[in-house]
Amino acid sequence: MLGKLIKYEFREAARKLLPFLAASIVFGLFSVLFIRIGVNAKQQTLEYYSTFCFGLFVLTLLVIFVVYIVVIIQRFYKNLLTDEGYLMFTLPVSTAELIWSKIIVALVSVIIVSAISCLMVYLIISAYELSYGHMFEELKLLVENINRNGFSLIQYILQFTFLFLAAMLMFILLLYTSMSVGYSFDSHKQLYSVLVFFGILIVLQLLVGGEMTWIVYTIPDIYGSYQSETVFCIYLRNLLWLQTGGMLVLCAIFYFVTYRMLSRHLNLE
Amino acid sequence: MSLFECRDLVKHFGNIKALDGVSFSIERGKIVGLLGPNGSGKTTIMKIANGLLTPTSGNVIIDGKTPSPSTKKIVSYLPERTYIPDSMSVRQLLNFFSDFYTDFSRETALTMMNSLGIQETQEIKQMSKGTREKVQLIMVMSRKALLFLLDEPIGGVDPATRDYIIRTIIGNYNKEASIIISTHLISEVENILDDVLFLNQGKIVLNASVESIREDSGKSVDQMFREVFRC
Repeated sequence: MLGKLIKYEFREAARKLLPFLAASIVFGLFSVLFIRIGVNAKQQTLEYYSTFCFGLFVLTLLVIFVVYIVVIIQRFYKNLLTDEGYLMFTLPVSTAELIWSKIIVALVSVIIVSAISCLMVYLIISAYELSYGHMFEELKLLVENINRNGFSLIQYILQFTFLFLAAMLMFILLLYTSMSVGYSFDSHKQLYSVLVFFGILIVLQLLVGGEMTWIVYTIPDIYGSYQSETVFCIYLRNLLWLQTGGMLVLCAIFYFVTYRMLSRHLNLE
Repeated sequence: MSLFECRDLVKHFGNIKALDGVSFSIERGKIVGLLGPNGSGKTTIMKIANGLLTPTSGNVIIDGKTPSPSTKKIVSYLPERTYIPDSMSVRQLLNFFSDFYTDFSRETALTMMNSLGIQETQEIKQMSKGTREKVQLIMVMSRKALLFLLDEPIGGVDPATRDYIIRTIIGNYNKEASIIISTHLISEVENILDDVLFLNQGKIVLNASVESIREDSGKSVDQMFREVFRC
């Protein structure tokens, strides 16, 4: 049943996201084309077009980001907390399956959008590299520096990818928690959802602020006490894993609250 | 074993007691009217039976189980609200029901849709409110469920549509199944009911067969209702 829920969820999300994703790919590819032709031909007009298309590409990325958040919010509240909830919660599926279908589709959507955006940025940078010939030198130096300390670029990429996914999952579940708590009230449901969202965000900011203050004050002491750059890099890497773990703990809390609200305190009218 | 049973069902909404120790059972093959004025608790019972509300105490037992995904497989629910997604077409809605309900009969649904002139390619958002309600009823009644819970199926529609709805209910339900119809329009449904339950302020005030009401009191169910709930 979870597979069927995911299928319908993907269809609805794709309906809204795909047009903007397609537009960003088109603008990105046109940027690449104009960069390659314009710079090689040394024609100012074509360089202008490449800049224009690149601007549109960046704009569509921003629009995709906004549309993505709107879709996440809309799919959850419209499908589960309004009249459509009478359909969804009377299907022969569990509340957990309903929530997980939305989480999975939201996460996979952000992975697809991010991957395509990164690919387009890479193609645009590559076009400039082929045209100007020196931009990748800086990147090569950075990679060499990382490898000199005994780490691989892949490890760092994986670590930041996990951190990014944990952060996205936390954000998605924060939205779900806010809406499921807000909509349990009889009136002013949207207002309460917004209040809960910002309330939790303020608490998280206080926690993160305290943690960052501790890091900023202790890093000089820790750096000074370590004998090598390598060990300091290990410390930073462990810190990143700690951040990821902390976010996953928060995800578990938010999921539990969302599940509890939808299974015990559902208020469709 | 009864198909549907309420055992000392209590539900509070804050300080308001919506259900106050409701107990009754329904056997297979019965059409039961859950009758009462607005706010008597009819919709609350239906929602608890469908897992949309959690009782404060007591429970609902459907075919030996409390409301869960396994009871939802055998219960077909028509809420008072229109719940079909307006982003779908009729064909997509038929696919949706076919995917999730193994007892859904696409052929039955299509036959009824065609008799109303509704095409598969039609978008739900293009339909009027009345047509959406009919589509919703068709989807619910096209299932071969064991228990049909119909919440105010004929409220807010014109008399011709009411007749259509009642004909659809009678014409399509499985005779081994039970139907619970909640309504306050008694005269319209009286002739199809086997038993009636009168509900007032969260309590059962009468639980009897239509036949016994008519024989014992010499009154129709509608007349009995007006007498019991006289303001």
